[in-house]
Amino acid sequence: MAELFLLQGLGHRFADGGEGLVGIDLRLEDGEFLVLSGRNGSGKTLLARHLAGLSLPSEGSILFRGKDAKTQRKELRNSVGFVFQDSDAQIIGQNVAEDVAFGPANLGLEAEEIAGRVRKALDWADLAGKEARRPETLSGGERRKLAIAGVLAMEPECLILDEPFANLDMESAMEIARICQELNTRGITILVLTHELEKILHLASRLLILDAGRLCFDGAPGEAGPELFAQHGLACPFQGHFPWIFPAPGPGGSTESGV
Amino acid sequence: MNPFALQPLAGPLPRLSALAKAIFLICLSLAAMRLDLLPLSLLFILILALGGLMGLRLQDGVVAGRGLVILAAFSALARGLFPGDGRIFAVESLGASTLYALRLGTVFVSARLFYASTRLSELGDYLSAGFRVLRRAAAFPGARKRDRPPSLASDPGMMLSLSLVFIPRAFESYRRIRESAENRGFGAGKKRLASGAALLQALIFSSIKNSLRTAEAMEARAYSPGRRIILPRIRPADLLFVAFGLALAALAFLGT
Repeated sequence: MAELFLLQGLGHRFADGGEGLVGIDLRLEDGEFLVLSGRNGSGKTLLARHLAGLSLPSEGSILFRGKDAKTQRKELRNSVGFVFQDSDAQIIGQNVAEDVAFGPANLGLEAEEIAGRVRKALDWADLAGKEARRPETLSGGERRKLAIAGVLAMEPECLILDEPFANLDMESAMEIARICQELNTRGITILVLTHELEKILHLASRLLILDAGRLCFDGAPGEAGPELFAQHGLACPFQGHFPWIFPAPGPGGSTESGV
Repeated sequence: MNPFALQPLAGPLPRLSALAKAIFLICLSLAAMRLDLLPLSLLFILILALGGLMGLRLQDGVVAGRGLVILAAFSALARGLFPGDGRIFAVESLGASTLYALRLGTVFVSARLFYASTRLSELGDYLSAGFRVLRRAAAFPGARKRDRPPSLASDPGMMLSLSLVFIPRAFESYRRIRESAENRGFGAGKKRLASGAALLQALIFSSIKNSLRTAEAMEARAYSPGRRIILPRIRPADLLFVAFGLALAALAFLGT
């Protein structure tokens, strides 16, 4: 597989001297399905911002398709789609179709090409038929899908989704996971940032775990054990390891443990 | 109610060019300011019927309608109260107040129809395109050749359309902040003014934060102030609509 990103000793230092990322060495390839996890404040979003060209490294370098990402910011933004954690702030248009058309219009495409891409992106995101709807009338899950459609219409090579399952019910979360899987089978590299691993890890080809800005695990999901997840403040996604799970109610409706 | 909310209205109005509709709105407003009571009443009924046919919701206009009634009542009081001949109220002044209310109502309903059938981004595109033409015309010949990076001044229309899109969102944020504050006792004590200032501060900070997020999202979606603007093609129906507006204005001016 061709190399998409190569991170060499990537570091990010905040204005107050705090370290956001420390010595990240990473190689991402075309067509991978990656899950980036870690506790809150571990640096997941910051690393993704670097990949999307929204932040610049304090140390080390990022190569995008073999070229320094600092000199490739325009290409990077056209090739890497970023779905923000707060997808509402990402919605700009007055209606669904207008919002999806925003990115392709910025690429300077012709009206027909824009219309075609809008149709295709709405089909992918399962929002066809809702073109005229105002974003504020959509449900939380639909708004998340709209944010994804807005990025898909730019036909990126790589799609980064920051906490795509936050505030979504299981059905909507599964729908987002299905869209990710479908896009990945079409050759788009997917990077999902989440600590809700049970919703997505079964689809991933590779798991990355960050802790305090350092890359602590990089490997196949099957190689990670329950101890590793516990060590980094994550719930083990494998069956039978959900610490919050409720016992099934008894015949009278009471739970066995009385929780 | 968001006065600038695009609604998926039925009929041909949403398909007409924003420029044609804006010219028509100006002509119609000028005509409404000149017409007498009877023709204006007919025009008002016609526009109301058009709004109804296109699916404009009546309840959207109720709040504004109340405001118009208050303005008309104030106008009637100012014109008719104590006319100086010993009467308390001059009933004959009601005609002028009714005319005033009808003029306001006609312009309001027409403007409502315009905003409900026009995309803000299209208005913004026209504004930016017009501004760029003016800038090019005003620039010195040498200045034109300079390769300057595009600045926000190249795209005032985007700023306008974004501001109008975000006004209702700012109201929604304020409602959430106020409800959360009320839930924690805001408004119950004596320090209401100080708490109000704290609410405003929270709103300003959250708005700035949201604006920064939106700016980043726009950047991530390849936005540049020097973006290419594609204006919709002016079609025969647009020209016909403009001609109708001009004729209406001309009739109103010639007939009075």
